[in-house]
Amino acid sequence: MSTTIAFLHTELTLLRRDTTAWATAIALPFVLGAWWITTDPPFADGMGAIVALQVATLLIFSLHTVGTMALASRREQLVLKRWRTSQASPLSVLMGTIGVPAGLVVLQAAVLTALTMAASDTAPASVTMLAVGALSGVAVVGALTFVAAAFTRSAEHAMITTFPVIIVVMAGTAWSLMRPFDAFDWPVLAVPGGAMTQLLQLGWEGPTDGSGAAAWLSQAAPGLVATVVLTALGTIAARHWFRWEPRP
Amino acid sequence: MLTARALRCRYGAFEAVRGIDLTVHEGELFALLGTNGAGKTTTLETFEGHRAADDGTVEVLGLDPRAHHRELAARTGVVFQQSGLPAELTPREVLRLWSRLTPDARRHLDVDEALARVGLGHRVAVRIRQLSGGERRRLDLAVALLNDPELVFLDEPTTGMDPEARMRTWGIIRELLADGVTVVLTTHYLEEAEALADRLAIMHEGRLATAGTLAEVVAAQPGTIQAELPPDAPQLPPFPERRHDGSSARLELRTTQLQRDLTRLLRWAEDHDVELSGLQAADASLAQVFHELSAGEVLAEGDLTDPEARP
Ligand SMILES: Nc1ncnc2c1ncn2[C@@H]1O[C@H](COP(=O)(O)OP(=O)(O)OP(=O)(O)O)[C@@H](O)[C@H]1O
Ligand SMILES: [Mg+2]
Repeated sequence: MSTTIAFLHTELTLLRRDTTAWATAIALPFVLGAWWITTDPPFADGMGAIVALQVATLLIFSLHTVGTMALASRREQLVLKRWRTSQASPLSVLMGTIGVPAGLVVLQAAVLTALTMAASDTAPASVTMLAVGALSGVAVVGALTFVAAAFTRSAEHAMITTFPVIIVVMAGTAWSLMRPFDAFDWPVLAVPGGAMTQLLQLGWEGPTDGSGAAAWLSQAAPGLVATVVLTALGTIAARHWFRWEPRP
Repeated sequence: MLTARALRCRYGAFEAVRGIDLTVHEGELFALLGTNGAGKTTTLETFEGHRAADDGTVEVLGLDPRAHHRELAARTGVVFQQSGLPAELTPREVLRLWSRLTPDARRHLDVDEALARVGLGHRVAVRIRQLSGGERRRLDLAVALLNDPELVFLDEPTTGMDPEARMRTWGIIRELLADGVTVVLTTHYLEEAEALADRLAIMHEGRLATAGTLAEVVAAQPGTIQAELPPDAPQLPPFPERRHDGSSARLELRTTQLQRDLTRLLRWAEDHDVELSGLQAADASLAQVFHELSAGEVLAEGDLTDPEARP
């Protein structure tokens, strides 16, 4: 745990000194997220949908792109290999590297949600469920980031290798927004971004039938199951393909 | 302290290490020499727990380096052949991080003292990106020594260093040895091995071509006797390993029995009243041994029965 914190501290320092990553991780998604509030996307119905778009944007840039670049360049420069000669566990090396971008997503999502609330003068039905939704996205996209990084030789190469996940998450989010969020739409849930969108909308609008814990749970369950399954699949794939050094 | 038994490492179908047996004793410096691609780094990385042996066993401080990686990481230090430190950090930041990454070390050196010790006292807050190649090598050494290790692996620690920095590094290594630290070192500088090693091995194509103390390694190769013969010199006694180019009066003997053959030569000279000028007798140098053993593949294709054919 303390080694993970040491890595997080180091990664934060590295991110601060990397203006490209800084722009990709902070400026771009934040501006875009704020912009979603002022426009009224035709396929986005309600403020829950706006929040889903914001989180998807953050996941794509702050987490996936920045995370893939960080992992690939640390491996290319043999930094991952070097860290592994320390007492830190492999998991803490990886969590330390991806933790900063993941944390940025959560932080920025919180700020953007607050902005959205202020601008629309509405409030989410459950902040907890919003957090669960955002974390669902972080889990799925985080796992996919390791998969993408496995196929990325360098930070520059990430321009190409991040593309599939970007497209898929955009598609999953958009597709999910076109369906009622309380529908049990397994094909939609199976696409990364789909479950997250449903959970976020649920968090904002509240359950459509009933209001007790049982109603929340029954409507959240499909999204949660999809999240667990996708994260597990991503993790298995990452464990299979991820390499610690450029020479295999 | 450290042993390998029948160690083999493969990269796909290519076998980089082909059955190595070696032992490193506590408190000694063991130097691993060999041509590029001989398998030195691969061998070291299995000791460091970084690579699994495909066959055979390795033991470090009595432990399996894969299973006990965490404990060994606290007790050992590593200089990789290629550094692997983030270019945008400063030496001081790297060392501070490293002490947090080795919480179970018996002791941590003071970060600034460690940097001063390797001669980076004036570069503690500069980005690594801006350091020269030799300065980075010094930083690698500082990282390896920070957790006060019992055993260090140094993979070409002085490559890229200027002569002054190399001398300083040798000094640090000698201090380590004086403190009882065990050192495993690879180098392409034979004089480095001659200066520092208690024992050494020469690797060639994944195998150990020879191993032992410097004296033992050198003794296994023929020494050389050279002299100028006067033009009217009588017939020499037969020397089995004589090398003689007919035209000149130059005598060159290669012999594994240096003392015996030198005595025979001197006795012959005295008996026949011959004046030998430019007389030299010497054991093989480490460079000669290295050259002989690394030319193995060339020899195998040539005529083994004719020692004169050797390069
Ligand atoms: N990841 C890898 N994949 C394939 N082949 C490899 C890999 N790593 C090393 N090799 C090969 O294994 C052999 C031994 O490599 P190694 O790095 O151990 O040599 P070395 O003795 O340290 O050489 P040098 O003096 O150049 O550092 C080389 O032929 C190298 O090409
Ligand atoms: Mg090497």
